[in-house]
Amino acid sequence: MKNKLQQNISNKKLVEIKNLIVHYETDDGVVEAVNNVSFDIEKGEVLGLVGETGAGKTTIALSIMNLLPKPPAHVISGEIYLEGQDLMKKSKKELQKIRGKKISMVFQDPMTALNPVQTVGAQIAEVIQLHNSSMAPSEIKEHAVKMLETVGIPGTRYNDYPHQFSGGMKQRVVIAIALACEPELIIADEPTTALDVTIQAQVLELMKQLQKKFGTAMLLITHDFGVVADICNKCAVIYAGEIVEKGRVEHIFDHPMHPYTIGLFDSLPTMDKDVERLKPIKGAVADPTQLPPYCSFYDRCDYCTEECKRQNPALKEVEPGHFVKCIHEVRGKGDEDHGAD
Amino acid sequence: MALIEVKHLKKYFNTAGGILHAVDDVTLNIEKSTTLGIVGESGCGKSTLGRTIIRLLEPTSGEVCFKGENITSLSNKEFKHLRVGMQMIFQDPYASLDPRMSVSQLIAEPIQTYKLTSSKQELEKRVSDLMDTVGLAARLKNSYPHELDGGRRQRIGIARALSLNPDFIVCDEPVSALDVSIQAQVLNLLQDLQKERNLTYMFITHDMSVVKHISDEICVMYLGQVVEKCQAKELFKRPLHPYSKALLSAIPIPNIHVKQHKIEMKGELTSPIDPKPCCRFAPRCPYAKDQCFASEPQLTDCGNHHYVLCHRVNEI
Repeated sequence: MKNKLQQNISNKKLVEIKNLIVHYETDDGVVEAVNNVSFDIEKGEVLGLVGETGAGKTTIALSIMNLLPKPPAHVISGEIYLEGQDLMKKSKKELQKIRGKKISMVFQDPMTALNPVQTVGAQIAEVIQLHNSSMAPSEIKEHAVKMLETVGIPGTRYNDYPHQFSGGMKQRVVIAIALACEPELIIADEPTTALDVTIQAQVLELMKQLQKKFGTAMLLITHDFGVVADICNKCAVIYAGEIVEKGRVEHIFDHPMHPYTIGLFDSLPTMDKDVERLKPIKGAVADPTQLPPYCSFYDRCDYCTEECKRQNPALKEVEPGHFVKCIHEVRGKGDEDHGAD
Repeated sequence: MALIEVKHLKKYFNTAGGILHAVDDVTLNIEKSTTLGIVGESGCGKSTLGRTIIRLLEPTSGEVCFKGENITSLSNKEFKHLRVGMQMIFQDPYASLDPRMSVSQLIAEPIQTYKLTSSKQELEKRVSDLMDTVGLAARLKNSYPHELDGGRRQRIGIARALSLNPDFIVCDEPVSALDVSIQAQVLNLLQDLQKERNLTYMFITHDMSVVKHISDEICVMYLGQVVEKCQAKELFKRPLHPYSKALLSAIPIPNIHVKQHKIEMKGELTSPIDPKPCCRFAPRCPYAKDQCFASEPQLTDCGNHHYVLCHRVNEI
């Protein structure tokens, strides 16, 4: 009965993450990497997860794939559902069936994501073979060649090794591997950060096209709002392991409401306006081994009051689909008057 | 007279595959108290150019004049007193600091090397003044680099560069390793220091929005050559070289209402090893014609000190 109910709820929801808490135990103390994070991804949706170094973005991604290094990582609590099934309760074997088939991952650095002593063709064929054991070798190769061509690499390069490709081409190969089994969800962890802008533009364009073509949902982890604006429908901003704001891209870009989101936008040098002086966020990122019991952005916030120290605010829905974790109703400047003062 | 005058500077490297033209015939001037931005993609020679200008690398040919003196013809000993005036801030605040030196030792090191002071008290005073200038709290003076975050480490790098009171600083991607909120702090600091101390910067970066923010003049580099050189505002208003146009159109803009028209460039960087005598951008250029593959273009003035290296600049 309960199972049925869950399936009904998650008809549209592909992935649901509930109250995820992940800690790392290190010599310097317990790093509270992810603190009570909940979000979901619908089918065919592209969610951008934005935050700075150490915010916990990659930890969330690895939790979904169940690839966290344990120890030092400990999942304190949380549930992760894929099409209604709890991934946390799956065995190793069951997970292997899911990884690469239902969920696949594109890593940041294409230089290290590929095996240097295997041809790119063999690496694409490997994932196809693993998930389609009945397929004939010739069929597998045919499919792998097709995948290469899908990402814009001529099939004749099937037998080339990774070092024979440039950075952008390698990332295309990684994307081909990720898409080979037509997964429901792709987790892309900073997929274009290691690439030059012109190559980044090519890869983003490719990802956009393929996402439309295959209808794959995507969790895009990035620190670049420009990339989010280009490719995502929804966006979640994460600070010190907590989601501080989430909503559709229109919410986040047109009227950001969390002081951190507003601060991030203000500290970006913009292309379309001339600003004499940037407005940085004061201070440095909160120490994840010593997070305060109240709002973790308190020390850097321009809007903080005494009340902020009394509690750690919860995510509050300020308008349909737009959630903000702040007790103040800060109105971020819209695009119209962005950077006017 | 410009503070830095670079004339036909070349830096070639011998590699197994042939001669790599890292910097190929670059001519530019940097006026005192201004910032020249150098942009380009990885491998275009921007860091090599910066390093050759302050003679961390010996040029293959060409001249670099600092305050009117040609530094390329000086012996190391003669150059030493000029080196004080030319400093560098490195990209990676993790790799450019000795992990076994404390903050105060790191900042004191250049002052001791050049024997700028003999008294211990004065040295301490200078170090604490420098820490104050770059916004490092005095309590950090006995900390080690690994205890500090990227932004603070980069402040140490800046303090080291400032410690010799230079006139000219090459900033090689000083904010690329930093998060945006910290990046803004460091950019503001660099601008404040420039105003206070009349510093001249050469600012190397791949980030177009950063270079637009900080530069007075910009050079766009492609495969060792300067393909476009003009005032910063002019470049963003009226880019003329096809590469600059494509580069500008490729930047993801954090605004969902701006529909970008992206100029798709074919392929990727071609090899800088033994380049053919033709326009180096031609294989990727959407406007390339026969003449572009036949001969090398010359840097031409398109008015308003806007220089472009393109055969067809007047047609497109």
